[in-house]
Amino acid sequence: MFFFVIRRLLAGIPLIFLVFLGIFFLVHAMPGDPSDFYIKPESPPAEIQLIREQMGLDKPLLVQLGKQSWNYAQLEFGKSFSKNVDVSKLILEALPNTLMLSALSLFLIFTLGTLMGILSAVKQYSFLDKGITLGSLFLYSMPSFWLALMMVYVVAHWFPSWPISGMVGETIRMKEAAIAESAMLNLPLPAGVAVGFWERIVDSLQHLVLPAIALGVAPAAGVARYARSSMLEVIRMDYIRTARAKGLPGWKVIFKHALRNSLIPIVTLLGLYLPFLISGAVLVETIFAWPGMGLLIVEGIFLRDYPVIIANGLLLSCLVIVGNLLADVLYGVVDPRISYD
Amino acid sequence: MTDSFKNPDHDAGPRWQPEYPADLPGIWQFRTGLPLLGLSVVLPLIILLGILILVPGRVATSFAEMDAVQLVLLVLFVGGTYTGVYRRVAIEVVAWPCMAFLVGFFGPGKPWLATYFLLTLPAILAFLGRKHAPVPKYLKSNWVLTRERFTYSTLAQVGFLGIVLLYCLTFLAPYLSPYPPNKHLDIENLRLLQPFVEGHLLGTDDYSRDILSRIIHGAWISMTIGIFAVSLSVSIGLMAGLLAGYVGGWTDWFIMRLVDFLLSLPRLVLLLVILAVLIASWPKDVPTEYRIHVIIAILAATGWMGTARLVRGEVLSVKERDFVQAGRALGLSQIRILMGHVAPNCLAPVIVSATLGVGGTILVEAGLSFLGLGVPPPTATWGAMVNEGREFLIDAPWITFFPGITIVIAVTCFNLVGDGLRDAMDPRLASAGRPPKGGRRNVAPDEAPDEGEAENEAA
Repeated sequence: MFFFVIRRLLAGIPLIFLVFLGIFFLVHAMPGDPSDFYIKPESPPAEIQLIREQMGLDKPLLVQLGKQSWNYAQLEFGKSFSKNVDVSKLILEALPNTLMLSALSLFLIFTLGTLMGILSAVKQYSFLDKGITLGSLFLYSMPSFWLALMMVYVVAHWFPSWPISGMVGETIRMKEAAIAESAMLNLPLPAGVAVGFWERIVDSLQHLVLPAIALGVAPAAGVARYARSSMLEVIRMDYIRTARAKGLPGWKVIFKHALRNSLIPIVTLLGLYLPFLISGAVLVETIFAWPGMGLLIVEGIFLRDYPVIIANGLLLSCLVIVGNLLADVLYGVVDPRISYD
Repeated sequence: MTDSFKNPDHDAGPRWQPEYPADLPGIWQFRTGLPLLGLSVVLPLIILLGILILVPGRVATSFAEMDAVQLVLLVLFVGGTYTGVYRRVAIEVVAWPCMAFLVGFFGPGKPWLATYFLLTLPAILAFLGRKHAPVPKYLKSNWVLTRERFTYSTLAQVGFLGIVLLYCLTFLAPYLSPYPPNKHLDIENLRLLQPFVEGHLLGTDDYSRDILSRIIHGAWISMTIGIFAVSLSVSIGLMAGLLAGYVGGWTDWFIMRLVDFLLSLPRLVLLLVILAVLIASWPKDVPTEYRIHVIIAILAATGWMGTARLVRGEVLSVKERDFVQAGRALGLSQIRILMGHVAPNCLAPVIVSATLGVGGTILVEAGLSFLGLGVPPPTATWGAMVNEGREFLIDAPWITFFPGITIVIAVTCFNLVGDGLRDAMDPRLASAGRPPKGGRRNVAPDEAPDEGEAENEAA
């Protein structure tokens, strides 16, 4: 198992290098180069030459490639054009947020999806089954960004106090501002300003729920469809009949004997849905102003911030590759018959 | 559909001929218990009649606007449809893709294209809704059997009806939409009108543009980009899969590693990066059509991997079958075996995944438009319309709601048809559809009801 993980991680390195190569040549294929950002139309040629030398753009392409890939291997992505901050710092701030969002929606996808699937498989051909099948078809065809906007509309109308954008609530932000102010002026902290740990957790969860649902609903519907068919297959097996025959209650048969076996094809879906999830996160984060990598890359695209775009694209691809590895490992956990030697 | 997928004993009897019923196309389906298929033939005809009666002026002026080339095309296209020239090569394969191509090539809202469609529609529908002479089951080709099994599922038929209507919407946009899509009607008085008011069924947006007209005109972007990108990507995937499966060896290894690699990338992020770089490198005055073609090409280039994997798997099993061996023994060339014998037998899953892929591509395109990287404004696209409504979400939710629900409907239709096709192509995999009780038409259900059903009473 350990060696399998190591081997797969090593196999991921050429993949990531390929992504980098692709993005590198894409960026270099376009007319103009990154130095354009610093060059004014009236700059003298000598100054342009100097800037290009400083940025290493006068060297042959292969040398640039080698240098840039060495920098990237050390996680040095250069400076963002628009914010004048190290890109790695921006990404480090955004990465946990995206992971948090993806984790919660993955949890939603798999619990909700499998539950729905099991329900409709157990009650096959009933109205419930038909409702779930048709409903999941609709949800599966729903653009996540539209669903997100509709949710914003509904929540803003009926639950005006529920936060619909950003990551930190108004009260916490005001408290933090007060703390920062008093620290700047060397004043003692006013009473009731400290932000409790749980307060912060509850606050971020509140902000997280809507994006996670918007992101997770469509894949959950897909999982429900798969779970239904795989459960139907398992339910017809002999050992399920045996379990029923020995008098186990229905729920125990389903959740103890059938569930684990019906999970096997669903776990393979995890690897398939990860790229989908990351893609969806780009749209959903934009709508909810969730400060993750998707929002970062979209902002980078609109501001023509190439270091941010390249580094972000690269890291999102890495995330998917690592996620695929995770799915493979999970596959072994669910199905012990699989060996990794 | 082509007839290349024949039963082995097809030559045992007389070849079936399409038989044109005495009554209007679509009517006999109602009589034989296929109301939805009947609707999908009759409804477009009703729309057509309505247009001819209500807006005869527009049709006539579109003739006057045509130039010589367009008139020649019209004569070729419409004449060929009616005289049955295209019938030999199956009209459903030729006529609508031709229309889709014309619309994709010449852009939206061209009245002369709508006139082409108006004129060919009756012939196409009559052909689609034709009645076949009763044929014993062993004489039916697989395609005919598939089509019959397709009618078992009501939902699949609803999806089919939806797609037909959406295409009518696309082609007939200049005749159906009540206002020009990009015209600011009256920015002082008609801004942000509520839906269901006089004259503006779905309301207006903040530039006082009619939302219904914009949705109708936006249909062609989603529909043509979906169809074009998927047919391109399916062709690429088919070629790659055939090559990988049939040649094997290093070719196989290389193609499959490439497929694995591309599949592990988040598609939207890839598209965003490519489009951002491309758009940055274009001059300001790039025509809209050019951008659409580039988007189609990029969508196809990032969407072919699933098909390739699917086809390779099929090829690996098909190429060991007896008829391929027989072809080899007869000394057929490799190309002929591959294209003539292996490829047609790999098509069934490809058609299913292509149909499902159209829905997915429409969603991706809508996402790109939503982020403002799709077709540039003021061209109406569904995704961009959702984005335009974002600013006014709380006060004017209808700007966002209607284009979005149209996307949902379009994608659902494609998914329904895809599911129905999957069940019809491979009855063993049939998931939800049960064969109808009592044979419809002259078809007996081929498959016994699921045996597991009886055991399923518990829980």
